[in-house]
Amino acid sequence: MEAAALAAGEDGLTYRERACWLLRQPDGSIIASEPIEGDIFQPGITPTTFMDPYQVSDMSRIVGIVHNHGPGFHGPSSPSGAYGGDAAALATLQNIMSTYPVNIGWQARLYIVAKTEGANSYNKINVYGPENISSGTGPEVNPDADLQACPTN
Amino acid sequence: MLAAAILALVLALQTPAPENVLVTITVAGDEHFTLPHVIEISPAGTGGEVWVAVRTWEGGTRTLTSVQCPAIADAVRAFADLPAVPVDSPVLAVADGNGWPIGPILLHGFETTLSFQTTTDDGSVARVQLSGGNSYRRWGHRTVADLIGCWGPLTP
Repeated sequence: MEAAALAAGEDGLTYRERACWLLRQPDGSIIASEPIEGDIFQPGITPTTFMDPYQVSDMSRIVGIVHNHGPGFHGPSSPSGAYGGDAAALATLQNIMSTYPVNIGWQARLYIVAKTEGANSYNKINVYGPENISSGTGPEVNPDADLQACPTN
Repeated sequence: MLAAAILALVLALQTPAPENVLVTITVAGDEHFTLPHVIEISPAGTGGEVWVAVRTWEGGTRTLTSVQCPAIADAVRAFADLPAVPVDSPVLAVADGNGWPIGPILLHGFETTLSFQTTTDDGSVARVQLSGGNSYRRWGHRTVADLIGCWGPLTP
């Protein structure tokens, strides 16, 4: 996603929301789909990104989602009113994974990438599943994410 | 006294009767981005050339016309292009053995509930309240976001 942002002339992941499907390959490896472009981050506006699973040629390959938040927002977006927040996105992901590769919804994973605030900031990745989506900030993965190559198609 | 009367007249002209409201957008509060508020969009007169948007929240009210904020007229035009809403319950699909339907994922965005009047096939007027539904939810989000460009955010 950061490569797509830089290719678009943006300043890393802090300008626009993007999201990727995480897809399982026949050999078991996981790749990220092409990034789906969402709204730009603006003060007072929560951005949105539209992800249509029917655009994935084989929905049985879907095992997760990765998307970026604005700097410092490492947790899932909160439910409010009828809005289910990132937990609702995870619930749809579970629904997909319980329907196509049958009954593996419990393995669904939602990764949130956000730049840390302050000095020495970096792209922090936190992971969420059904077991922790409602309990604050999930565990950080890839603490050296900036130094690691992203999977490519 | 005269100024107060003129102000009252202006407010009366800009505060539409409920049946004249095109759409009411109820925006859910969000801990980071917005206070809960309501936006009503209505025609300013009978010509349909100028529209008025009124934003109401616990701390006050703000009114804009489409002359001041062209995004209001853009939102009205986009509202006219929204698709019809079929009555097709997901529960019926499950009852028919088809499983719970899987819809697209819309990450984040303003959460809106839309209220508006529509004309049914027999010509009678029905009042509709609608939450979710991708086209409608995207229109609600887009309208709230675009109007922020005119009257600013309601950040908590």
